[in-house]
Amino acid sequence: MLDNEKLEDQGMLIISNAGAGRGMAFEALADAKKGGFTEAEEKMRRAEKYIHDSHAAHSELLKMDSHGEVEYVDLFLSHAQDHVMSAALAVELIGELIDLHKIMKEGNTK
Amino acid sequence: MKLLLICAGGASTSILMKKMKKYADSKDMDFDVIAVGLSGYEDVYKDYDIIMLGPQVSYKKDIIKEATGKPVGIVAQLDYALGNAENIFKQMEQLT
Repeated sequence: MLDNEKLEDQGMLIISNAGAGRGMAFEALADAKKGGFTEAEEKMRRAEKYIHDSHAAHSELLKMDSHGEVEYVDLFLSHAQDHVMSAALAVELIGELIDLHKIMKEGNTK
Repeated sequence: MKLLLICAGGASTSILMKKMKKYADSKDMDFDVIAVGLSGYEDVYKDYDIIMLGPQVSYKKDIIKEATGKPVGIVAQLDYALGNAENIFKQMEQLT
């Protein structure tokens, strides 16, 4: 059975990766707004990697739960879930927004 | 030193806050910290010397720096996840 501290650590792993991904994606959007598409693309790649790691941490928790190792789910874990979901959506949508900025700046060449 | 921690809602930084307090106590440091969300910092920042942001609000750094005129840093993702207070204190020393 997992103790409280281990659950909290796993939650922090989910939150910090989700948060870093979300923050990075918004930085990428700021770059794209200024026309810095190369920097924006690089930052989006890093953002996606963070989101992937956050999902991985989340999946690990689900796996532990399915093995009966998670005794209870508290508000903090539900908060972690909130982070990973909103961050994943932010990264996905910001990818689209950057494409729009690119089209506005360079015209639709695709 | 008085530290203001900011994240999106103030919840995950409050976990970090606990760990930093514990570390500061163990080193007998003169240290005070509070964690707030993005909507709460404007009311309290005047009482603090330095501001550190959670990675999820890193993109607000310039705005917060301009609004507060205080030194602003971003907690590295790994330090945030592990609650590595020692690293964060080192980072703060470089900022001030």
